[in-house]
Amino acid sequence: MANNYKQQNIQPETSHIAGEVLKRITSESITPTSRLRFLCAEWGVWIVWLATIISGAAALSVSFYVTMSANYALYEATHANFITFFVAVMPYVWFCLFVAMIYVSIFQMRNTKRGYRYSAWIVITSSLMFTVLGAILLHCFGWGYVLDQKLGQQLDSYMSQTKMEQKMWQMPQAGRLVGILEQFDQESASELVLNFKDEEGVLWRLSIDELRAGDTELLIRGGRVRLLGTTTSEFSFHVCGVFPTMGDRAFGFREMARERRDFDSLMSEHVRLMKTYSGGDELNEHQNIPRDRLCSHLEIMKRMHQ
Amino acid sequence: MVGPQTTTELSDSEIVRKTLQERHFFEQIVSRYEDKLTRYLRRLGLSVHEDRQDVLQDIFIKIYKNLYGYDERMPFSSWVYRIAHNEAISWYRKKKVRPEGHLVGDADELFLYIPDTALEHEVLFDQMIDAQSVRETLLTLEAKYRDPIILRFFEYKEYDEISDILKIPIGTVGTLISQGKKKLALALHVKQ
Repeated sequence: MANNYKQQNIQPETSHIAGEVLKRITSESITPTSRLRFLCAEWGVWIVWLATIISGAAALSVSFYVTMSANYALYEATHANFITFFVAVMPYVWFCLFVAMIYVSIFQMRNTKRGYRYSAWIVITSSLMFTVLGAILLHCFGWGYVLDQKLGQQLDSYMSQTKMEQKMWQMPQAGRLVGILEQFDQESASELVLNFKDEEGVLWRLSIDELRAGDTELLIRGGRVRLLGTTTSEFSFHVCGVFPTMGDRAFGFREMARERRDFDSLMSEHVRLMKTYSGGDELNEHQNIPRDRLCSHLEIMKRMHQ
Repeated sequence: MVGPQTTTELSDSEIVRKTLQERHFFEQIVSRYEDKLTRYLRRLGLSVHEDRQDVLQDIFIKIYKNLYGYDERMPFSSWVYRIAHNEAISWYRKKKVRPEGHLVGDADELFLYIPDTALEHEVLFDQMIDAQSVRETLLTLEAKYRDPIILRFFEYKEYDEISDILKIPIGTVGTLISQGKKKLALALHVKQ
């Protein structure tokens, strides 16, 4: 039936087109494009797809690193709650880059010789799967951290984890400092003189009356640390807790969990002291709070134990 | 040199391989696809003979230029139709005109496929819609519905071939044809 229709209604256009085409091929010296060019084009598409997958994986691995190690353990120290903290530290640029790379990789895959045959969901899922797997692999090898650090060093405008940590912790008025212990006078142990240089080069005199032994040890070891406490007078800082900086290296889950446990125990200790305090001890001249009870009156205490 | 009797027995892929060695074999490809592509171009709306001839020549030149790019995992005819389809679209874009198809005759046959129920079938036939009406209505459909319908019901292509020609997933071909049929039936019903 179909063929009958064709025969009845579609008049074949008898033409000399074959001759015309061959004449044009000869006169215009048209030759088939080389096989190599097609191979390069096909491989090019796959290479671009692979490159976008790798870029997407790199973006996601940095996102993993930033999200998981962005001082997660001590978010109460810097933010009112976890949501405000998460909104502040979420790696938007990397996340956007990841989404863009996924889009490009899907587009690239669709442009391969047989890529169009697969449904959008298969292409999206496979691209996403490869990217996530790549990101996990890169993250396990510490590439997320390396990339974040390198970019932070090379680009002023790039907010690396180290810069983010510095931004969140270099706030003396909010009771947070980041820096290195400059000088430790061990000879007069009864009157410890601890000079601490913060990230902006300001020298602080620290009081460590309420510091636990472990924290004191970490502080005098001399590495880059974060201090949680309160300012008592100009360039004087009462230290309540000492924590290693996290931006300096990639922290694992275990370390973060340990950090979190330590932080909780420190806070609980101060809370206990706050509850047992009945007043009448030596008072701080600025805040009318005893020197050895200052930590229990930190804002963070109120936030954590409301 | 291979004689005419022998070349007609050769498959498309074999002729492609021979053309890449000796140019004159390309004549066989042109002969095999000239009528088919002419009909296809008419169905895509290229109604003026001269325009059609120009586009047809460009299609064959493009086929010749891209012979090394042909992937033998796909039927050669699908590859040829894909080039023809793309060239026709390029031509419309260049000329900035809408298709003016000549779906003469074959349009009646499309009705056999449109109804989903016997009742709709009879209703449509009772209304005695003519080929002209179908042609006009089909050309008002969006290209994404129109193209698979033309390939399926006028060029008698299988779903996997349509997938290769239009570069869309096979599942999408089925969906577009099904939706296109409904839209076409609805448009014809409204028109009547």
